[in-house]
Amino acid sequence: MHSARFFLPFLLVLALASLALSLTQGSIAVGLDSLVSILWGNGQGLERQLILELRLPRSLGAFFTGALLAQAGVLMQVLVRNPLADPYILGISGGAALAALLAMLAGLSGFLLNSSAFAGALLAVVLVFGLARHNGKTGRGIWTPLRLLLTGVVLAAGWGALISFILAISPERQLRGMLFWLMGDLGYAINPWPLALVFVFGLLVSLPLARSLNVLIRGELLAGSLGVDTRRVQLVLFLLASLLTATAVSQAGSIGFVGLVIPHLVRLLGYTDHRILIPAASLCGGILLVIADTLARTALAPQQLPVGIITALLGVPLFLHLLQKGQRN
Amino acid sequence: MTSRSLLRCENLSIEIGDRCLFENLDLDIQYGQRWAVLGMNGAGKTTLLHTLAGLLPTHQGRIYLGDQPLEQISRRAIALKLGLLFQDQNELFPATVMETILSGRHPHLKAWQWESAEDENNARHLLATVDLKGYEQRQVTTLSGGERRRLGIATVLLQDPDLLLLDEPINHLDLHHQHKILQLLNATTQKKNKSLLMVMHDINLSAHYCDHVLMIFNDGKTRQGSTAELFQEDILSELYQHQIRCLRHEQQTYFISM
Repeated sequence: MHSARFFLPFLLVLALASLALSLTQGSIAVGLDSLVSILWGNGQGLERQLILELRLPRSLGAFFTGALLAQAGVLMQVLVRNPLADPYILGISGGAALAALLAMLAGLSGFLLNSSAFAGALLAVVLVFGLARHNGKTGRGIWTPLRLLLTGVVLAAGWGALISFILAISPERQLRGMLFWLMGDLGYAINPWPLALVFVFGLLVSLPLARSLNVLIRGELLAGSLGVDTRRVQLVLFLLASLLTATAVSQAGSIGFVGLVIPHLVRLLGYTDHRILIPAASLCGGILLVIADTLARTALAPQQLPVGIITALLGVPLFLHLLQKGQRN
Repeated sequence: MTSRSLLRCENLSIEIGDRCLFENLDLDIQYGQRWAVLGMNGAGKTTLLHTLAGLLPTHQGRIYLGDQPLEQISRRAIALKLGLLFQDQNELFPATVMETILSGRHPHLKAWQWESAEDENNARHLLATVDLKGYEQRQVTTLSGGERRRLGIATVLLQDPDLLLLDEPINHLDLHHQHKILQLLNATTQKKNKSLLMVMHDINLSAHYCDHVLMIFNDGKTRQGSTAELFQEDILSELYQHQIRCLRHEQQTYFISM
């Protein structure tokens, strides 16, 4: 078994380093020493304001969004027992996106925009779960992960069509903002604390279940024979993954790639035990998004890019490299 | 040897979809008994195993673990008493051999508890017993069919239940390992007064390694009893709808298909 004794602390240090990088880089570069003194409560005027009021919320927002998406990705892959699953596979981001786009059309922004997206995500969650249930012989609502997956994939296609429709009829001046939202943009992440809160809640719920997930990912019946109450665990997985995803997309749009690839990336590093995989994937997702957001802000400054582009541009070569390396072993 | 009931079913009927596979089965598996389940493909052997393990709902009849109805017992408590080896196990996500065998300890551990060093030692010992020594860090997907089968056996032995429900345990195994695994299962169950219920397709190995047999006929009829009593040409021929002859050689009985 791979020892996690050094891996998780190593990732934690890497996470702090990525946050430090993100806080010091930007239109005005801030030295590491001034950063430390500002975070310590000292420092003067403009720099202090820049760090504490602009960069810190955004960097933390990036970190927790990435962490939420990666954690949701792990849970969703176990729930539908499919390596191709990502947090958006059940159409949760589709519902959020439609609501966000409608809110933009109505001229909403900031907190109201994010709240609309969250409401849209919840609507999508209720819809997919409601439609995936069917009445069996007993008359009781029965659902299975496979029905959930098929229902979700079809609903996601439906959301996609509605999103395209909104894009087609929207005035041109709003299209840019809408596209940024759809590609994922941390410019919308105004308050990192709800993200942090949901993230911690997610860990508290998922970590005690982590060993059950090790068996559940190998099959429902097998998990049942080893003492896992499969339906209950699957319901928790569905609700928790939905909450994590809804929270992430409502703050930052539908950032792709992180939730699909980060879990596999950590597995390729040899950490397949969910007791390590869940925290490790969360940290890696956070680190990737912090670095990606730093690049998105600075690469073509003063122009800002949607972070979703950078996550994929960074992640694709990294993942392919690990895949090649893994196959050689 | 005590004659205590371990797992018992009364009036059990098994259906798949709208098809009734068999009806009104009464079965009493006692401590120390070794049962073979024989029948043709699709007779309901696997469904019976899964039902007895409480993984499928019963349409009619009751199952008792000890003297308690199965549906009143938590999954975890059942897993401490009943272990199940599935017919086939497909792995979609990576895991090492060590991680896989340690999953057998799952029902024994509390939510936050990790496998102990003793668990790992026992796992290593069991892996060596099934000729998988040195495979600990291998990915399960790189194992051959027979090696995976032996890993499955080692996992259910690490789970250490009172009754081993084994669905074709010697599937994919070469001749040497068929005997080795059946001897290991027999030795383990005899030493600890545990029980076996194995779905088998080999009459001779069943005759050699089991003392009781449950036969499921294609018309939904079932017969049960000692292997000595039921392993006869006419009964076996009817069971398999194929002529089977009994030959004696050096005081041993062998069954061959004609």
